[in-house]
Amino acid sequence: MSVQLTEDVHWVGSCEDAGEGRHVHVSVYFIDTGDEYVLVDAGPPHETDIGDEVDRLTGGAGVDTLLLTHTNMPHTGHAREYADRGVRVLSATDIPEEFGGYGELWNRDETVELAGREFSFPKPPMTDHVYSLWLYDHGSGVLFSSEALGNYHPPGRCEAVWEESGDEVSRAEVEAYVRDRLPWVRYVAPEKLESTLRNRLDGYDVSYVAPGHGTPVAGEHLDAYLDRLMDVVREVAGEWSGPSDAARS
Amino acid sequence: MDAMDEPPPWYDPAGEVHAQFNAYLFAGEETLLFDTLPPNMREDVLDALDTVLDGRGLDYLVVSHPEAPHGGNAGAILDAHPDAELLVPETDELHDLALGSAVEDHGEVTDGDELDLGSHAVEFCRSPMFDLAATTWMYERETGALFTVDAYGNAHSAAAGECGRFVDELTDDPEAFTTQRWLGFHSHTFPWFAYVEPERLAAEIEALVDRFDPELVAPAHGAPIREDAVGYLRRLVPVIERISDLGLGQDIRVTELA
Repeated sequence: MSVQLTEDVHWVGSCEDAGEGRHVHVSVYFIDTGDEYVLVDAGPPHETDIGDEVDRLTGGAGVDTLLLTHTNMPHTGHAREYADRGVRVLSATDIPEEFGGYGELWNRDETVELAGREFSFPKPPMTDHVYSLWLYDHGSGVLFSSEALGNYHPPGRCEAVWEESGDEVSRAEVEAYVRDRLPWVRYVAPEKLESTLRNRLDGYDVSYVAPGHGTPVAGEHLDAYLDRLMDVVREVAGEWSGPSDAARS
Repeated sequence: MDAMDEPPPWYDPAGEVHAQFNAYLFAGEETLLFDTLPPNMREDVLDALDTVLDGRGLDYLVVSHPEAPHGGNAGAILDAHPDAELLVPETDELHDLALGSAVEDHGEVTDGDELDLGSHAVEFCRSPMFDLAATTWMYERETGALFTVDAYGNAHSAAAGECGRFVDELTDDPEAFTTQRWLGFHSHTFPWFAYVEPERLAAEIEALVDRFDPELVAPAHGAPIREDAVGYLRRLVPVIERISDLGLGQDIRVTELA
């Protein structure tokens, strides 16, 4: 699949069966900066369609830079192959040798010039894994949010983008994703998470939020998405009555 | 408990600070390896298995969660020990992606599942402190060891000879140890601690104490604790309280090690 989000950013995703009649995205994003071709994440190891789509988008030239928001699967499936082909690989981990020895480190909360435009790497206010970073492309205004701001989706809506009605992402799909992938929300004070999340996002002029495992959200609908997400967080955190309940959830 | 402006006493600026990667092998009547070490330590773990097992096979390989530092050598270990049964946490996630096609044939474990190894017996338990949602902790009854995976870790000084040491060999001051080594480690490893209601995780820790009353704490990224294990389990609570007070963006590790 390939969906153009902005003039220079394409969503090149793959979809996996997440059980219970749901799909989950394992997304890769392609950026044409004008100077270079950049890929955000490398997809799962068994996925080959992404490489074919990248070849189509680059006219066979391939990408120049690979930016990894995560250093674990399924974000890094083909990272080693890109590195072996001479692609510059930038990794969010500070111990890249743990993951095969390729890649350069990028640092949190820095803004740097890469591939002819500015990128920022905000520390994720919501993540599963310490070795992950968000990525903000100042040229396109796309914020790549890795594990956060994700959702499941039903088969047949794999290429939907939240642009208009809000029906593109249901509350149930957000809730299921949060319960499965970010179950630590059961321990949180929702207002602490919400203030940090909104404050962090307020620092960026977002054209799209581009998650690793969810439906891209147009910037004008981000507040509505966050309202839905925080409603889920308040529900999950509000269910807490002790460890035995956590064991059953 | 305060984050420190000065480097802690254990830090030697002339030497390397090491992160630790532990896998644990039971080599009794039946054999079980808990975690695999990361890919860059592949030969190390394969050689260690050869040395300890001394010609015996591996019966079980348990991967605590499908992430490279813990499961990145699963395929290689199963290639070397093809009769071993791979066990991973129950999950809807596609964990086999992280472990490679060689390990698609596996079993899943969930909270309360038990495994009799003859001389040892293990019980799997839900992890209350995790990065990936699909994470299992493990308790072994004969040794009283609780395997806490990413929790209860610490950095150490290679120059000071701290590699391969137990906590009781690193300190005789538990309070100082947790302040100097756990605050930074846990704020870094569990960024979501910044948002938690600490009493909820305190309740989780008490539930673990009630359930297992462990005599050993065996983390994946720190020195194993063989004295006052329950006391150390509880000492994480004020660390969590401090991280929650500080909120996100306070990279305490930088202050600890700068």
